Amino acid sequence: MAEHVILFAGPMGAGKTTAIQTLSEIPVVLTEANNTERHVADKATTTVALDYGEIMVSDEEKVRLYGVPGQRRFDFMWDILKERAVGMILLVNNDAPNPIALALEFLEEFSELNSRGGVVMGISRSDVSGGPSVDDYSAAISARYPELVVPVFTVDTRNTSQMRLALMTLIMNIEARSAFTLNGSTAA
Amino acid sequence: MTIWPEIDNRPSTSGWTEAAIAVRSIMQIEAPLLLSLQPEGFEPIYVDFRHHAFDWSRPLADFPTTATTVHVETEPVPENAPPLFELPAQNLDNLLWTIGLNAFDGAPASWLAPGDRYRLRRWPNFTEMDHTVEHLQLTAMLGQAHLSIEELASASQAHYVSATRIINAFSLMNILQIIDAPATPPAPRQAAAETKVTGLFGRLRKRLGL
Repeated sequence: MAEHVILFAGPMGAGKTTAIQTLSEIPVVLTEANNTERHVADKATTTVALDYGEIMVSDEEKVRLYGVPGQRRFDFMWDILKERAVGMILLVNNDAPNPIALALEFLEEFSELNSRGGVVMGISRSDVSGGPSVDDYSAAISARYPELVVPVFTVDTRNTSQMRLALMTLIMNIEARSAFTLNGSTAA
Repeated sequence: MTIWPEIDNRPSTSGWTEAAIAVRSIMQIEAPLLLSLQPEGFEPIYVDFRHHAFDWSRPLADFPTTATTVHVETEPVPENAPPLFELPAQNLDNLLWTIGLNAFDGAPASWLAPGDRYRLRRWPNFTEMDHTVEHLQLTAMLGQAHLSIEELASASQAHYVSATRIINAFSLMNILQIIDAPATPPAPRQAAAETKVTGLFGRLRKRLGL
C-alpha cells in the first residue's frame, strides 16, 4: 500500500482538527484533552497528541492526514511526524496575537518540508478580525525565503472545496518543485 | 453612487482588452484614481485603487466575459478622501483576475514583450477566485522558475492560449516577476506529463472528480 503523509500544523485554535474532519473519508480519530492554556486559545479542548484521517486514492494508495499538536511543549511529536511527511498545510488563525510571526515560526520548524515546496498556508478566521492580509503574509514569507513562493490562501476549514484546493495545491506544488529540482534548474 | 456624472460621451473600449489596458495604465502611474467600468447592459463596476478594492451590484459570477463594449471612466481623488464605497468591499485581485483571463482574446497582453520570462512573486488567493485545476497546475509551475509562455505551456502540457491567459491575468494583478530571456532557460523534466498521468496530483484529481 502506497501511503502519503500530509501534516496539518499551526497554533492552537487554527482549525487543524476541523480541516482533517472536512477532508477525511473515514471517521477522524480525535485525541483532544482539556486545554490548560485558555489564555492562548479560548477553546475547551485542544489537540494534544494527534488527529488522524484518511483519503483513499485507490485500493492500493492512501493519503494519511495527521494533525500536529499545536503547543510547543509537544514539539517532540513534530520531529517524528515531519520525517514521514511529504507536505504540510500550515493553518494560522488571523485573530491570533502576531499571526505572521507565528507562521514564520512554524515555517522555520518545518523548513525541510518548505524547501521541497511542501507547504501551503491557510489563514483561518480571516473574516472575523482586522488582522494581516494575504499579501502581508506572502510578503513576510518572501522576505524570509526569497527563493520559495509559498501558496497562501484564506480558508474556512469547514469548507470542503477550499480544503481540497489547499491539498491539491500542496501536492501540485511538491510535484512541480520536484520536476524542476531533478532537472537541476530551480529558480532561474 | 453619485460621483459619476451622467454623460453620454464617455470613451468606449472594445471588450475587456482596452479595459485591461486602461486598468494597467492607471496602476502603473500609482496615482489616486477612481475608476468606473461599465459593460454594455450592466451596472458599472467601481474601483478604488487606494484600497485595492472594487464594488459591483452583482456577484462576480455575472461578469459578462464577452462584452463587446466597456465604458471606462476615471476620476482623480485626494489621497485622504473617503473610500468610494463601504470597505472592505471586494478584493481588486478577483476583478483583475477575471478581466485578465478574458482580455486580449487569448493573445499576449500588449504590455508583454517577446522573449520575456515570468515567475510568480506570490500565489493568488484562489479560495476567493473562480479557477480550474489547470490554473493550479500552471500557477505551481510558475512558482518554480522563470518561464516564457511557450515553456509554461509545455511544462504544464497546457494549451498555449491557457498559458497566455493566465500570464495576462497575473501580470495585470502585478504578481509576476518579469525578466528578459536568461541565457539558459530551465526545462522541467516533462513535469506535467508525470503529474497529470502518473503523479499523485493526477490520481487524486481523478479520485475526487475534480
